[in-house]
Amino acid sequence: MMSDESVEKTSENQKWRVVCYLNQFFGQLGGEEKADVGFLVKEGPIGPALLLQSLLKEDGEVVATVICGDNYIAENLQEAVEEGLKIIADLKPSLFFSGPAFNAGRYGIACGAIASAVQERLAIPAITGLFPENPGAEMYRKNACVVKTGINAAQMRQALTKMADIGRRLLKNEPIGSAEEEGYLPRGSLKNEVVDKPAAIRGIDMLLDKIAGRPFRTELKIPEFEEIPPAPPVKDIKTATIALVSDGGAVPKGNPDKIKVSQNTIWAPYNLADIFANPFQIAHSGYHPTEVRENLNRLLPMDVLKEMVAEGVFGSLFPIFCSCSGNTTTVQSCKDMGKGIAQKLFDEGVNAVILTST
Amino acid sequence: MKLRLESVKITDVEFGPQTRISNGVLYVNKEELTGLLSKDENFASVNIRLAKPGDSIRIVNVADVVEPRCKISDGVDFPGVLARIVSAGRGITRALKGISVVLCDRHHHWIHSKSLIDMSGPAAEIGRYGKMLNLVIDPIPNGETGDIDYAYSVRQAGFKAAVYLARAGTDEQVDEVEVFDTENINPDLPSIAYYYQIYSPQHDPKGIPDPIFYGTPISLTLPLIVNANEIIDGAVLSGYTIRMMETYSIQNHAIITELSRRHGKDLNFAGVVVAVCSMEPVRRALGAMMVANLVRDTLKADGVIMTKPLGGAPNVDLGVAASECEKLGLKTTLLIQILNTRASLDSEMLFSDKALNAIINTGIIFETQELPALGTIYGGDENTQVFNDSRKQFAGQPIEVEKRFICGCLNQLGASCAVAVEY
Amino acid sequence: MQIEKLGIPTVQITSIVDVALMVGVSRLIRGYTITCPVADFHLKPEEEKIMRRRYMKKAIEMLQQEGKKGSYETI
Repeated sequence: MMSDESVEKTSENQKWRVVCYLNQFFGQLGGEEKADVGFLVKEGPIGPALLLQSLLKEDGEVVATVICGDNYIAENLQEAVEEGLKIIADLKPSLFFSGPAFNAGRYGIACGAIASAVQERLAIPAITGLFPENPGAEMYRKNACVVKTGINAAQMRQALTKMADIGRRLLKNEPIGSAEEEGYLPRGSLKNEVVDKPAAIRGIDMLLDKIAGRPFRTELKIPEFEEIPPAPPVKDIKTATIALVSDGGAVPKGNPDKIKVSQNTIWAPYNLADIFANPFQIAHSGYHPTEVRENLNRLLPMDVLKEMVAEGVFGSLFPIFCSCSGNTTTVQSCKDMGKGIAQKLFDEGVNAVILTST
Repeated sequence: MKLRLESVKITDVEFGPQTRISNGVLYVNKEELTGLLSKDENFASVNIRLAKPGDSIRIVNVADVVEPRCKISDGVDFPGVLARIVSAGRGITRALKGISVVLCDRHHHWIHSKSLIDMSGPAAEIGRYGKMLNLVIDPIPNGETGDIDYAYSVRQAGFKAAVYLARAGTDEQVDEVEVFDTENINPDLPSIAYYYQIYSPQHDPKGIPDPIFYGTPISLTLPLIVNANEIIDGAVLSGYTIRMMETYSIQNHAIITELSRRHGKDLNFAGVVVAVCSMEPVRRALGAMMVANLVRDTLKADGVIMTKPLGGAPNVDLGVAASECEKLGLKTTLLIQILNTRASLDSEMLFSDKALNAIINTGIIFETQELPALGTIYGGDENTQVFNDSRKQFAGQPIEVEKRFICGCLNQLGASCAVAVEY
Repeated sequence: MQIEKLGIPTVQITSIVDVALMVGVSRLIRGYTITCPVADFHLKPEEEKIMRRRYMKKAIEMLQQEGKKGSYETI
């Protein structure tokens, strides 16, 4: 964390500069009709930032509120975040808050993306507040402090109180406790803590609860995998359309959809013939792509499959393949991408899929 | 099987002309003990030193820690190791509490299996032996003996010292008595068994198994039933390659002790199944099936609490055995340690059976701790290398050490209070 | 798995079978290597192509059969 000397204060009164980010609605510009509005900066605290200011009391001064429309950001996330980041950097805050966005999807992603950028690229403590099921929560909880909030703005005060409290302590270099204790989403680390009962006693007590049918809380969770029965076999292979899907990250040169090389969350459909005909790259940092680069058939065996179609082994090869990258991807992202790919293939009447994984 | 454990509380230790206990102080005749241990030709010489809480002392090359104990009746001292094989777990055993015997193995080959104990500083706060009186046995190798024979000699020396010290106590000095007797079952109480995976042969140096069960190697055994009393009375020892399960923590086995104490109160202690990690799937499946059958039909338990040594392969064995138990309607609780700090509580499991929903985590073993340099080093010197994955570091410097190497900090038998928490 | 949820049979080819098994994939072929799931790149190109064909043939076979969780095929 930062030492006192590096913290920018507004005046001799030793108040830290705080900047808040809000969307068009909370920033009091309007509703959905204003969702396309670009970035603007208003001096001082606006909307929920006023409450935040009163919670921070003498420790911080909200010098500016940065407002942007949800669609403006959602439609061009990477560039919009760059734009916002520059604006925020120029304001020289010591502490940054975005939202809280509760369960609003676009707003949540915007809050998370901007908070992450501020935290990681400006090294300024950044805090947002999201309902745990908000898609932005899973995406950004490891990169910024995401305080857990209720589902909507009825819980504004509770959310801001937690956010302000953590923010104040981060500024003062005070220790922040565990995710559960403090009410933020786990950031992806584990630490040893000492509790009063040794593992033996906790274990025996837990076992007695389990035997008696009493509730208990496990200290380690099994990853959740849905029980999905196998799909029925293809009925008539000679008329079937087979599609290729791969998590090896094959994308057209330039990676137009910005599939990430690790912890990816994006999939995209590409024309199979095109990707062979034109320059391509591999957006996956989990394996050496040399062999695949030499011959893309090693990941997507199009040559062999086309021959088999010509020979009448099966009906047709779907011209589009679905590409994503599967390196250190979270279970949730895999599920989401899978759902997207599945829906597309289903809608297009594909009968079967061959999925190659690296 | 009934075991009466008599304890003499020791509050201080000093060298003196005669080995005896007076007013809680243990006096040790250093020459006599040194003479006793030096008889082993694998040692060029033997250093015996004292380390007390608060001392600026770092003990390195720690191979094991043993509680001073001796048999008063119905048994022999450390059967199979120091004496012929006679069942442990019956009669009277005397222990000295508050002091332990620390064994240092200076033989260089097993750096990964050696731990350290600091008597002051952060390691002393988080490791139990840094808060106890320690008699440190530090032999110097003769330079010719092979690893395994040498390690065996160190072990023998440690146990001989443990017995020698315990014999200093007299009947009148016993402050506390505990009786371990789990024979009568109360049908109204839930019955709990303990699955104790004591060893894995995966690290057997040159494939030679470690003789840890009544001084006998049991690397290839199928699951067997052993009386809990035997386990805490010297039948089971820690292994050369095993950390976080010192003999001291087996003698004072957290789970066995707790189950024995609560026997007849809120549970029945149904018994112990001892197992060894299998090295291949067929054996693993057979072992798992046997564990489940033994626990349910022979021990007649309702549930089983389960522990394992080491890391991943034993984890898999544990999971398979637990799944088999759950299939027979037994409830299981498992003690699992966490490896990594960049992780979450649902990414560290190596099995996915939903029935295994009662897990205790026993802390993160790779989490590091920074330790200052200390004044004196036992078991080595300033240039003794202390294991660190990313750099060379030596005992005489400030060092950064993974918690699994701080002896007594983490424990796979449930003695430690460390838990991995999400941040 | 999500694809199978919508009723489209899917064969996965990967060399990291454990995770696939854990997730519940029911039509699984063990891939050759991580970097090259359907071929051995040390072979001459024509031989490599034959190997890829074997993988595809097996995949198509499996698509016509009932899915079996907990097991995988090796070519």
